[in-house]
Amino acid sequence: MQNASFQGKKAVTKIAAILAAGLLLFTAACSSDGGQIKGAPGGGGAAQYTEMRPGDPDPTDADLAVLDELPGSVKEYYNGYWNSTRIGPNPYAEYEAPEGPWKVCYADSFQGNTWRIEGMEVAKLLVADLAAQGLAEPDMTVTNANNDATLMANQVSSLVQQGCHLILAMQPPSIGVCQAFDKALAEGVLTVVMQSGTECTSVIHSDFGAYAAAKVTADWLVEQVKASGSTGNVVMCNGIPGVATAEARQLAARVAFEEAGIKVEEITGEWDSAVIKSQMVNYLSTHPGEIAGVWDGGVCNVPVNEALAQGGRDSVPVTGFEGPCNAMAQWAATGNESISLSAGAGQGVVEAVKVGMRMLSGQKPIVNTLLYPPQVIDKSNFEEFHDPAMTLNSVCSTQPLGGESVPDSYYDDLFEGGEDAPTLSPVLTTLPVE
Amino acid sequence: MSLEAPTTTELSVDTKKISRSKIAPNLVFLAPVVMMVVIAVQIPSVMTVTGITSLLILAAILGIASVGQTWAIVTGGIDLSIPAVIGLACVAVAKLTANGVGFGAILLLLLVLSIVIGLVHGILSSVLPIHPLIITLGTGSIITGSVLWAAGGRTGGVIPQFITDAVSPVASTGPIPVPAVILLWVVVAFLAILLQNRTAFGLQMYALGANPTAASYALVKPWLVRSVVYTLSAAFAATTGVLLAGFSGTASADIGVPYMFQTLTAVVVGGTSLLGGRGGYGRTVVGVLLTTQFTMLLIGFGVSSNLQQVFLGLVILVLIAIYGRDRRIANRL
Amino acid sequence: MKDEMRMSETKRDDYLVSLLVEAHRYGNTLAIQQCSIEILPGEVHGLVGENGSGKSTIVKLLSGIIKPTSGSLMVSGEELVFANPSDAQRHGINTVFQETLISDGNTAVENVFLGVDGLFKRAKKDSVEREKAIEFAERLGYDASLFRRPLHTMSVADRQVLTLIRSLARPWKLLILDEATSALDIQTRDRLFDIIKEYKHEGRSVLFVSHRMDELEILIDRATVQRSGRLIGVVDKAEATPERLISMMSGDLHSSNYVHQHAQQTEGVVPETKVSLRDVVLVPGAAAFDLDVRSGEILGIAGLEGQGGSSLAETIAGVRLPASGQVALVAAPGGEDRSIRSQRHAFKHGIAYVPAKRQEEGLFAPLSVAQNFIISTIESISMLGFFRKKKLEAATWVYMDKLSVRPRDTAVPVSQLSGGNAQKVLIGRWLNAKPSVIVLNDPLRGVDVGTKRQFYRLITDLAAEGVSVVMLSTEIEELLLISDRIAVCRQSSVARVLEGEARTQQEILSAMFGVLEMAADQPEGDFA
Repeated sequence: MQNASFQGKKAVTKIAAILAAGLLLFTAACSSDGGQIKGAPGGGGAAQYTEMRPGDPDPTDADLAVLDELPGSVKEYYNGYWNSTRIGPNPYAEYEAPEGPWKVCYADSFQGNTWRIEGMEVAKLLVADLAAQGLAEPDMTVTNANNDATLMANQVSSLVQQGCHLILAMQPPSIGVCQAFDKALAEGVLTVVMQSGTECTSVIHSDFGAYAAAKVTADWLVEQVKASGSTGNVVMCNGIPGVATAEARQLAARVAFEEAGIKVEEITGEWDSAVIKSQMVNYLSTHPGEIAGVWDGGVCNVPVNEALAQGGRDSVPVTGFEGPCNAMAQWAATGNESISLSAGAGQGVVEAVKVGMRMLSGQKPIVNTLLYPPQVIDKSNFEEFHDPAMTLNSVCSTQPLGGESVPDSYYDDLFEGGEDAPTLSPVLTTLPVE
Repeated sequence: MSLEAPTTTELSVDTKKISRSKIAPNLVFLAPVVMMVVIAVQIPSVMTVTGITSLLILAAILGIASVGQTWAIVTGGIDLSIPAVIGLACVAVAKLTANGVGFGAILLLLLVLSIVIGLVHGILSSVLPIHPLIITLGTGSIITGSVLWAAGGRTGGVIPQFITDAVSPVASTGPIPVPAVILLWVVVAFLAILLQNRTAFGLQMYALGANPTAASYALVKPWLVRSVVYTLSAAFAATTGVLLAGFSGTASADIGVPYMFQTLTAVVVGGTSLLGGRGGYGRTVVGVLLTTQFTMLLIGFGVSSNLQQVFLGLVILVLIAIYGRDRRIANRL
Repeated sequence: MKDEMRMSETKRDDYLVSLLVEAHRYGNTLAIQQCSIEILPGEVHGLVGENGSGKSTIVKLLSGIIKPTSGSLMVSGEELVFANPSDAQRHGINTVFQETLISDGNTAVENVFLGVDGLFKRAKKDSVEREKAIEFAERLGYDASLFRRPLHTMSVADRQVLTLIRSLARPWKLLILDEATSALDIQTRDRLFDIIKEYKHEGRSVLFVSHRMDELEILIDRATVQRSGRLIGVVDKAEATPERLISMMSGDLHSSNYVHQHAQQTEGVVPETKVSLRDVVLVPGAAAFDLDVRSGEILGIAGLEGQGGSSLAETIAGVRLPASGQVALVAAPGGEDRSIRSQRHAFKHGIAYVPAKRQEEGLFAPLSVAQNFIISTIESISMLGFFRKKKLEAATWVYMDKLSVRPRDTAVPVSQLSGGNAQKVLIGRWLNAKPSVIVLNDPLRGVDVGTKRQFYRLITDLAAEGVSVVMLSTEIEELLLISDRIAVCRQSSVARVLEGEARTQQEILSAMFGVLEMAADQPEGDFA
């Protein structure tokens, strides 16, 4: 189980390779400055794109028009989309899908936590599966930008030059890499951005609808509060201020509580369990009043439960968000009902690869952003998601049942033309629980 | 013309006033008490055993992390590798415990790593004419990168229950009804103040910060003093990392990130000069208590996190202005 | 008092500057009371007093650095309060301080005009600034190359010259020279005096603050004498003999007898060599020389600035290593001589070094007197690395008493001590190590006469106890007074070692300037 840790093999060759790659990247970046960038950002179809306005409860006419035109089967999951993404026409309208076997590449903005590593491992498994079907080259090139936008732009440019057919970009910064993506589009390389919205108009986005998903957990909490008859307020445990997806989630929750007439107090946990714990401890010390429940904007479930218990408070309903293993363990240990989503990075990669395969098979999406609902974990299906190996210290994510968040047919209404995409074997269940 | 001189040869000095002028700069030590009164009046609910214990736990974790930062600044440097070392210790304790390594062995490993980190910082910043700011920033980046590489990005593991208990407001230490982390801080603070005020090392630390040129003429070994300072800084950061693992229940390489700003704030608010040679850990204890109390107060008032940062920044600026005046008076001759 | 009557004879309006201070306090400490200074147009006015007598306070009040707690200032008959130093400069008062205020980050020319230029805009074009600066540099015996040298390579003397040029180049009615000549070599000093005399005839005034009686005697028209923060009296040129001034400053009418002839003390004792220098070359290309440091002697080091005196002192103490040759600790008979490897190595074998610039190289400004004192000998009061405060106090007080350090408080920051008292703490630091050789690099620069006298006693006592004292001084009279032998440095080598009857001012000067024969009747002031 721990065989991935503290590996020391081939360190010297790895370092040499990294240095050489760094030098290459440097020269590549310098020489590419002279090249002409065909699809400049903001040019072409940018005018037809909606704006991204995190935290804005009111849709514009343009937003509503886009919602109107979406197929009825998916409309619900695009609710509040303007908080976390832009929607516009498919930038790959003129795209001609290349012949296989395809070279799939993975551009990660950061690989410093288990969530990110899970995404990358799932991508590797999927590529191996495609390679076995003769559809992809067996080796997937992976880059890690360490949260540096400039570095990520250089890495994307480099991947284009290496002849990648499909670039899976995990949570790139919302601006800063757009020019590199524009260049990829101009070179005929398909880029699918995963698990975040960006300002870029030259990529396909694949994400779960943050607003719609948050509404699910908030609605559940509203029901719980109403059922308990508590007159206390709900504490919202927020993510990093200013980050689009965090603002989208929080807005959905705020609206839900407001509509239900429940008072809300907010703490800022910044998706960091130590910060969440100290904020919650401070909150409890300074707010002796009754708490009706806590809504989780990400990572909060376990530290909040700990703070409640250590602060001598009665347990109250605490939602979860991205279905982390430790929250499952918490739920199992205390028996306190909760709700969560199965929103690990792995399932996100599965959905992105499904989109990528359709486009490589010649299908055209009707919009640039493909939102879907993540599976909901509740009392009824808890046992299916829970694994006894999960502990309060676990950092892994639960995986959707059946290996995908939505069945492949979900995308039928969102794509036109082309041939049937290859089917992928379910790989998520092979991820380790630790 | 008379050559007769006045008979007084000594300047007239009012001894009472002298003693008062010695008290003035030390008024800062009363500030946490005043702040506690403010909290007690504004948010009486804090004044429970759990409330006070919670406050002290948060202060203790920050307090232990700030020892090294204080001393690095006293020697005229700064330690920006503290967040990285916190992350290193946090991940190491979770990963190694999961692999069946004993807690004692983990502590020993962290101590050895701290010595290595301290020697690198001390020797590099003394041999090369590079400010510790750059060196510790660089090593911090190397440490975080190495941790992620070694752990393959998977930072989870098992956190021993006694660490979780040590930082829990409802836990006690043996027969003493206080969480272990608070007692640990008391011991650390006592030893730190003893070390800085009553040892050759402490004196040399101040001398080095006050005037590095004079220090080498006075036969102080800059590399040795700095190595000890940065070793202790790394060791205290590692301790913080272990405690944070227990506090948060999760291991993560970037769990220490907020401690860059927080340790610096505590040191500056306490009144230790960034110029070096002035201040000390006693003041940092005050800074730690004040910032922790202040954060609690702001959360109590429901101030949003963005505004919390604004207020904290304002407090720092105001205090720096006050200390700046104070220093001009102190160096009047 | 008669002084007050005298003031009333001349109306305040007639003075260029008239400062009357009831009292001035720093925080709670009373620095001066009942002081006044009145400067006529076209006079060179001396301000004398021991350290702590309040001279610096007067200078700071006149130059706008501080405002009097109570008192009044009139400039050309106009009642003024200076808001800041630039305000004083606008009213024609320029001050040159002893501490050479040169910021290393700027070029030499920028330094000359520091404060005149606006923050973003320069007052004058570069070339104009340059010409003016060069003009004064040449009059002081330097040339344009001074401004091309990187600042961090400049000696104290060069830096002092730059600050002088800085003040001279701006318009002024009153020039305050606050110990501004102590770092200058004799030639430059005399050139400065010529410039001052010239300006005096134009009706401009100079306030001259100095410890050097010879300079005061040459230059001043009148002098104000202060002691312990009070005005003692104002004397005319005729009255201002060194003996008279010293007795007024010290309150001791027989002070001229403090001279302590040390040379006789060591007679009859066979001195043993402690440190031997053989074929030593201080810097590449300089001449090699031999020199012995003997027990119980005071070896003076003389030489013009930059002629190797300081390097010699540092080399004896192991602070720097010679380019070639051997500097060795001489062992007891039967033992083997060992080369000095470093200052630390020398210290372990009983050689202590007191550095030259006490603020930059010696003292830790924010640390207490006791901390400054004990830093190098902390092990002597430590157990397992820890020390008791009681022991620190006891060890410090031994030297507080022995050297009569004022104030009588070991807890105050050393930055609050006057120059002389700070120097005592610094020397005490090394005496506490009980060295057998102590090397003092220009220890008495800017120290008042009374403190100097204490130092002479201390040094001769040390020698009498068998300690070898090596002392560099820029004042020849001082060396003549206390040294047994004097090593005169020239061109980074020891030109001559003078002892016994050969120790005369003329011999020293001739060795310093490389002149073998001096005309016996040449007056000393016009030398150069």
